[in-house]
Amino acid sequence: MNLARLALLAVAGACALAWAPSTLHAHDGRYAESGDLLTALGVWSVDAPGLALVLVVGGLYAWGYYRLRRDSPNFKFPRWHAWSFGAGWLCMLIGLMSPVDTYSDDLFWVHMIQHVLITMLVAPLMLLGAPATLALRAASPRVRATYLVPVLNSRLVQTLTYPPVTLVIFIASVWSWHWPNAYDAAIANEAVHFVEHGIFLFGAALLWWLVIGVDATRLRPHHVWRCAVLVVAILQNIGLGLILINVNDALYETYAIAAAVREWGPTALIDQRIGAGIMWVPGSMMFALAIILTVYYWAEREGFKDRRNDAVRNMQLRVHGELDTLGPRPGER
Amino acid sequence: MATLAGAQTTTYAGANVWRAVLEWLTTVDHKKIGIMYLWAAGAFGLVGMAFSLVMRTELAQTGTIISAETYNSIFTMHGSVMIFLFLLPIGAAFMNYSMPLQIGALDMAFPRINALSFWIFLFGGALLALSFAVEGGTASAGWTAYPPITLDTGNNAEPPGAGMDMWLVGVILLGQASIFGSVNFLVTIFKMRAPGMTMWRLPLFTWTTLVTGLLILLSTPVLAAALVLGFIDRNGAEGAFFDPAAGGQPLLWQNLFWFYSHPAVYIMILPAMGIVSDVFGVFTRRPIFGYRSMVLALVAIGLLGFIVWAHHMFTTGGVFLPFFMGATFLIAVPTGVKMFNWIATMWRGSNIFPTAMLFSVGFLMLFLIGGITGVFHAAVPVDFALHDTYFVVGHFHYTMSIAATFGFLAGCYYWFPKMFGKFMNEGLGKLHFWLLFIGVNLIFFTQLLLGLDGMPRRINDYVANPGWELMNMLTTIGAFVSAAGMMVFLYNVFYSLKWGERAGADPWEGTTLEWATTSPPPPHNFDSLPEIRSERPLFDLRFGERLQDDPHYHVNNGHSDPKGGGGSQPSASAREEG
Amino acid sequence: MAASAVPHKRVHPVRNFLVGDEPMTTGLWGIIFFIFSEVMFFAGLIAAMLALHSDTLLWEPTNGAHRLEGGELRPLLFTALLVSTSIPMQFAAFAIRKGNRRAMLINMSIVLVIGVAFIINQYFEWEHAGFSISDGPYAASFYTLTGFHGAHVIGGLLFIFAQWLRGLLGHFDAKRNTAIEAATLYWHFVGFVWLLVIFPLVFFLS
Repeated sequence: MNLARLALLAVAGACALAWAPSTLHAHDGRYAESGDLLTALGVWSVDAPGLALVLVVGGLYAWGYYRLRRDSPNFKFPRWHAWSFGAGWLCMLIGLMSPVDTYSDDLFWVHMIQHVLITMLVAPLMLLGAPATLALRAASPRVRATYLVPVLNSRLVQTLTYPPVTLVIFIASVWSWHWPNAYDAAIANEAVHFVEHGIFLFGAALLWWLVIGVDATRLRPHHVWRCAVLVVAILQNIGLGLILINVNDALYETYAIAAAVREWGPTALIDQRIGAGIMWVPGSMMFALAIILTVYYWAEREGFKDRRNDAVRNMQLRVHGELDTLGPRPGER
Repeated sequence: MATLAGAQTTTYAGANVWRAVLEWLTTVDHKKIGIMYLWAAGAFGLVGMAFSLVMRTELAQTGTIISAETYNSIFTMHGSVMIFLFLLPIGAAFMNYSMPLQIGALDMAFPRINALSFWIFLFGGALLALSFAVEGGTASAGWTAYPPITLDTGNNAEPPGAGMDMWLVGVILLGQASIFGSVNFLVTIFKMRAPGMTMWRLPLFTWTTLVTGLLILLSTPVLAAALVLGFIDRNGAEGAFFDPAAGGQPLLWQNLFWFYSHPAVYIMILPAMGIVSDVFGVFTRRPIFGYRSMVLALVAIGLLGFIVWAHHMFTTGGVFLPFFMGATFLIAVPTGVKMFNWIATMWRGSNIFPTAMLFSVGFLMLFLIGGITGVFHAAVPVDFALHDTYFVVGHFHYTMSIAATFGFLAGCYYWFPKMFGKFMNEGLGKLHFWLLFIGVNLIFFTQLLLGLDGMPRRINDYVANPGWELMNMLTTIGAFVSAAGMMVFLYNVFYSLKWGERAGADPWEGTTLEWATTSPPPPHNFDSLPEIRSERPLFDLRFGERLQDDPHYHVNNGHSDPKGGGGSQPSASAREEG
Repeated sequence: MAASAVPHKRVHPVRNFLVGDEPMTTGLWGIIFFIFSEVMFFAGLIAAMLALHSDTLLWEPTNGAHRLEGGELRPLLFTALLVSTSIPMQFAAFAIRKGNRRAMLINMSIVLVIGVAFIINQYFEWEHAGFSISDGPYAASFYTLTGFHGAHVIGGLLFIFAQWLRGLLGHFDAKRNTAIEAATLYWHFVGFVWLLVIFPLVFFLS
């Protein structure tokens, strides 16, 4: 019942957001005039849905943080959570409104930077801010009981955070939007573009939620599995980058036209290759960094577990004397 | 623990020889398979060295002794044999032998697949060796086998014959052996550890085995795909994959090939790094400096190795240069971390220098030169100037060939007492070390200089040029000095097998579990194991009680924060050990 | 071995693949790593095909034949059949987890029959393709990919058949069923590769 109401609300919100940009969009980004860096830095594109999203997200977190500090000052919620969320929020602001957004209609590689910002920085940094923990902690008991806990425990969320499903969603979101028709549609229509970024953020957020593990999920994958998920993410990233870098004609019509119209900047093909390189190398680097950090935290956890098991073992030794120290035999299950 | 196991040292007299042979042929014991890998890979390594001597004799002076075709065939087989039949399997040899002992396992997880993997390897090697006997000779397109040289396009004067097909199939088989082996290593490490031997107490060699296994698992199948396409291209598809005239793309081969072959460089060097780390951990009489950073650097090297393969193709025009340049530079960071950790381990250690330690220090020096010349190559402008010169030859021999070989030789000297219950002769070992060390530097440093002078690689003759002639002669002299060193080593092996000094269970005062059993170990490896409380269980066994009162000594290596920053989860995975 | 002091929590059977709650058997670890290597093998072949498709002037079969002259219905039908066998295979695994060997054998028989039918159909596809392997990049990729996939289907079928025979001999029960789980995972992989990758590529890039 409550879930249905929430879903209805979400659909209505999405419709409103999709409709809004066509009327409220303040800036026409088609064919920016200048390739000059200083000029470019001044061209910000503040549009209503983006602004609304950024403000709502930031406001909610700040409000939650304020409530948490006010209501339960003893709850251990490290300050770096808030800093990290703030950094993610800043990246979101830059990604959605700065010249990066303005020029993403003209240059494929700038658009790729925008995507890398959204999927590789905004999503993980915001999730490092432990938004779910904060929400659960800061919400009033009624909201917690009627909305948050049922949603977090729902079959839907469980399915979405099941690692193979998450991976498939993430990969599908990335690959499907790079299909030329979808991509061109996204640049042509701001509403589609907004939905594209939303889906990117959604897929990336699911993936990073599993990997980062600051917030609880119902199914907490072991660190080894997190690394495996990230390895698959790297491989698909390399695959898509490889395809884009090796294609010998401009795939995306919009950028081909933009390159033909403007009098500055790279040709469409070079543009496409720079973009693919950005996806391939810095994109994969972020995942690689995440793997290294995951391995590090795995070590931390194992160290803790080791000491606990040693204590248990020492106790057993005191009680039983010598125990069989040999491990599993080959062929043993 | 102190006595030799009688069962292992049974001598087979007369009629029992055949039974002994049969026992070795049908064995599924990881130790015997490891030793068979060692002998086979060692034999192939000597063959590869013989090829290199032929090449160096040819290049010692201007003018030709052997034909260009023979030369092509020889350098192709030198590369193929050294990489696929020596460096990769010798890593597998030590992984087979030592890794299960180090984690306190009783055998591999899949002993029979382990044996299968060895016999596939031997069959693949035999296929490569037999290609000398077929019409048209061996493959002669270099170990990289770039099409369209491998194809019969109608343009090449002497199209490659059946030898090329045998090469392709042989390398597919060798790759399959690697894949089976790596699956086995990974499952063994994940599942067969002794109680208390948790992941972050694995000896560093076992960690390198794990990362190497993952690299093999991810990259080798792609090589198999490339080789399969190459084979179909030659037999049936008529160049549709790789011959531009028939609609194929030569660069496609290069991409697939280097997707494997760049990580393959790490597959070769990482086990050597692991051996060296263990050796340092013993002969400096200190725990290895920065155990955890060593592991993280290992993981980082493995990961970065997957992103940067296109730097082998800078000059093809088919890659986007700046990113690969940047990413390649980045690899120097984790490698540097490892270098500094090794040096920091030796710093103020109570170092002793038996031959194994000498080779490890030699490894550091050679790897340093190789690594720095690698950074040269990562820079695109330098690479454009030096591509396909002897500078490249010098660089990759310094890293993946010679440095790796030094690591593996250190492993030989280090584990020989464990394998055969006898020490290798130290005097001969030191002679071996100095001959080889001087020899290889004579070869490859002059090759670096030759490369800077612009001498191209893969040629069987060169113009008379004062600098080149002198340095080529020096290189050839170095090759023979190294060969003499290896002969000393060979003599040392047989000498020590027969007359070597008896070694006890733990001759080096080792720190890892393989020294907790007899030398050689019984078929089931361990009768009992010590309690494992750190990554140096034998050290704890030896000094634990004495040091427990010492406030500076922490059994758990001083990981002080029990909360663990990563997951805030108090998890159930403690039960994994059950 | 030390018996853990912490009592085991009963977990949902699916989770033991992805969470460390219940240790996976050596066999499962092995088959998962092996499947990963197979995935990389097919990734290599498919990447090659995509690269050729994106950049060659001679993509279409040189003798002018078209792949789907024989109609799309039959390949689609057999694709659906092959992929749907993942369901009885998974049911077989579920059945043996509950100790029901009979249901397992029946489900595996369905898989075997449909799998063999798929292979026979592939043979007819090759017969009626209208071009040979030497007719340019598309033709070569077509035979290479379907051929290697077919080889993997046959391998999977042999694997399942062997386990089916063992099942007839009474080999599996609720506790010891790693081989069935492994065969199930492998069969999912075979279907997955065909459905998501090879079928769309091979049949619609022409």
